[in-house]
Amino acid sequence: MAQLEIDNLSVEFRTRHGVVRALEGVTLSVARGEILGVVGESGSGKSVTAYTVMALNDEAAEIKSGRITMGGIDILSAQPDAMRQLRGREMAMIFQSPRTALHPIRKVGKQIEDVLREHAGLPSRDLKQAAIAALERVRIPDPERRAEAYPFELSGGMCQRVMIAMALACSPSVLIADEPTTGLDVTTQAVIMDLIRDMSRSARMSTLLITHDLGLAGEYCDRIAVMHAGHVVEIAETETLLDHPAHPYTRQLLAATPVPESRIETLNSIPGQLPDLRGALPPCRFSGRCERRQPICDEGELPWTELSPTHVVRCRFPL
Amino acid sequence: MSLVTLARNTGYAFGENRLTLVAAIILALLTLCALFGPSITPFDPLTTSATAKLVPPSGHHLFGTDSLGRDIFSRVIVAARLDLGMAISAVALSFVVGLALGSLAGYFGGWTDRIVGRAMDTIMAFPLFVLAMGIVVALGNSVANIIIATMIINLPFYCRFARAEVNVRRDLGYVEAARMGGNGSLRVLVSHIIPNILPPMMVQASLNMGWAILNAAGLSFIGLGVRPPTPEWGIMVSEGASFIISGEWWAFMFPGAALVLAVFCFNMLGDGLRDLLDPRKRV
Amino acid sequence: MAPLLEASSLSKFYPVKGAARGAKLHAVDDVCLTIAAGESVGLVGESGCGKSTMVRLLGRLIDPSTGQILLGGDDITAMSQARFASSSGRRQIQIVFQDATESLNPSFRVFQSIADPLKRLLDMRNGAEIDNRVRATAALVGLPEELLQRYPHQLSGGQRARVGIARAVAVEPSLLILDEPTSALDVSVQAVILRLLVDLRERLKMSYLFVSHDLNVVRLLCSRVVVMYLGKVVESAPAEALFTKPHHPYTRALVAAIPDPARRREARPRLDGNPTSPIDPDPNACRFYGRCPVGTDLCASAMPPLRTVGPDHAAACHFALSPAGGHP
Repeated sequence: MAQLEIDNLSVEFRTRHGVVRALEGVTLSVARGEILGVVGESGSGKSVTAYTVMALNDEAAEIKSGRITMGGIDILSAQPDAMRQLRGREMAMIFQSPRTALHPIRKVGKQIEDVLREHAGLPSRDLKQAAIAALERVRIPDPERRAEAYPFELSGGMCQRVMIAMALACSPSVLIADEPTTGLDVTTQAVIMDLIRDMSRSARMSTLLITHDLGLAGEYCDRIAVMHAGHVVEIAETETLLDHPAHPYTRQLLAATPVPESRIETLNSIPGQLPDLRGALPPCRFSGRCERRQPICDEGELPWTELSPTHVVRCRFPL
Repeated sequence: MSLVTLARNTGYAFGENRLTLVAAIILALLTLCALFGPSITPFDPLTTSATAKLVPPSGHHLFGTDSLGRDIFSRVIVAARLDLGMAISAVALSFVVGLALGSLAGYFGGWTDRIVGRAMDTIMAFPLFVLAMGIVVALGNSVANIIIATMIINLPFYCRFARAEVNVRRDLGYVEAARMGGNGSLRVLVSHIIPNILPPMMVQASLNMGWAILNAAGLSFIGLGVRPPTPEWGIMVSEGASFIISGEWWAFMFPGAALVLAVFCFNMLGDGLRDLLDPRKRV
Repeated sequence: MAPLLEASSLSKFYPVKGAARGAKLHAVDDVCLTIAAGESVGLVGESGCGKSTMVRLLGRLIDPSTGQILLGGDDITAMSQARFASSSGRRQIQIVFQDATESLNPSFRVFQSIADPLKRLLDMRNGAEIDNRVRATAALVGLPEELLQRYPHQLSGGQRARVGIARAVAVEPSLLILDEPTSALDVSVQAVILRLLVDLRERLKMSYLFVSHDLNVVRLLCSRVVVMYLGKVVESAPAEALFTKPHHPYTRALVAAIPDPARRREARPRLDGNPTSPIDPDPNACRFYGRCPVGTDLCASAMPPLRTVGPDHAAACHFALSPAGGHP
């Protein structure tokens, strides 16, 4: 049963330079204990999706259509107070650049206590122990001492663990990780991703992993959704997506991602550029860059094609 | 930036912010007064009149007359040249010297930074207006010395700002690239870094202008610097202050309002100027 | 044939404030590195390993504390960095900087950014000559001419990358140091820039020192890779050998950490913890001791030298010659 369901979400931003149609018809779902990767390049809308689920969007954002339900609760029609309750308790988010995402002049132990005080309703005398226990769960060595440290005294990897500890302190049912390891060393990345995967499985959380790194998603995710210019273009189980991509963009993205077996001669680049999300857009936003484009691709509504119960693609001529 | 782009960007900046436009118009008027003051006044600002003392504002004397029968309107207009002139000179000197000292301190660090820092600390150790008073008394009562005094007390402001801005940029990629490209330290500082700190510094200068005007007027108000019968807003406020109680409000109010207006305009223009000069906003 | 660049016993120490008197941070410690003409060498390592310092040392932006760098046989460390900046050697080594560090001057148009080194290093005065050279370089890196009059904030990431490359190759250096040139770019744009770099190297007959944290990219572009840890070289090998048969435990951990969808079901060894302090490290102990899965008394009492373990393959580990993964 899907814990988090996004159905036909469309979001626009009113800006000085026009209306930006950031998301259109985004449909995703994440089951309990599942890790769904949302992969895309810059401008694909993956972060906007995450922020919309958490209701953290800018004032200029306008939700034009769609539903988001979490454990049956309709997120989009929730009152701000109700959302504040949900955030932290039922749903949590971890961000990029952990050192700058934490409060710079508050000890990390205290920051975890803040989350617990607000959302777990623990009595004050138990807070400190609970915070130390949270640090232990994310395998920080010497947690009593580390709890007294400030973020700038900790390495990037440690700060990210603290952020994970804060996110998981109240055992949420949904975890959104927005580029959690970008900027971290590759050995640290491996450890942090292993940690996220282990915590996700053991707590049966629905995890949304947002990343631009298809290789990373390939190693850690059960299913992957590929986004391009505000559309979800393909969703499939990881092995299927990597071995038999159905959308032309997915295939090109795979061919452009360096993996150990790559050779410079065969490394792909994707022709063309992202369409301007402010102007008039064809139904398929990839058609301008697609070599398989046909006249019908620019007409009518772009349908979803179901290739199997677990593999959908938004293309008229899937591979 | 070419003249065409400058004109286009000016239009853009003013279109964005009506208040900036209003401030610019008022400032233009004040500048006109400063430039052409003596030629456009209805009366000679120095001519006294025994019969027309402290006449309230009317169609004949728009702002009324002062205790010596001089037309206040004419004096206010002519004073613009002196007040704006003193302030602009002081700010310009402060800006240039502060920019030079601060940039050198921020780029080279070490002893340069320490010496410049101590010099600025010395200036800031005094209450600034009192220091200005002291400088004018020591050097002698004259307009030139008001400018020098105002320049000195504003120096730390520009120096610190330039130092901080240069410090932030010193380790950026394009500075290292400039050194890779064969530019010596001084050239890197002058040609590569300083053009980038000019926009924020110009904003500071504009905001500082208001303070400089008040400084110069303040010194004149207490009797230092400008001597009567020279028309100057500070002196006029001082002369007119004695008549508040007896109800002749126009004597101090109009020169005071001119001061307020000038300070307001420069403050408003600070933002507009930054938008104009910021390369990121260039089209 | 003499190598293009030969760095020997290169060290850079920084005084540490607030710690014990005379304490020094060992950013780079006794490093030897050779780059042959036309060779593409990769330099990898994680944060704090000293690769940024190496970039600045080899680019002669800073002076080494000890050691020597020979460029085409000439000792370029015999003079200070400031003297070198005005010598004829300056144009031989150029750096392409990371875009993320604001590598283009925001108040310079693209034309000016590319023309500046031509004026300073090649002493070009003639306006027409400069104009031609800038246009030719722009064409070489695939930068459309109309972009020459733009400011950096009006360019896309890929375009800015090209400008950074144009600026560096305009003076036709023999060694190009690339410091994370594609790390800020989308994967699709990265591919184009990487192919451009390969093409340029052949056309302009340059050597590359390619510094990156992305090991897959390094493997694509470099024929030889050097791995650094806490200021020292721990392994140096031909690219394929390094990734398929790493000999140093740190290199093995690094390679195992690369996300690889093909190995998603395997549990792979992970390197946890943080590096030890680079301030006054024990000269008689291996820098990796404490974090290394191997780790014997020998490691704590003797610094392992860089030892040959295969053709053109060296590793600094007492147990480097044991079979991969084998422990004593």
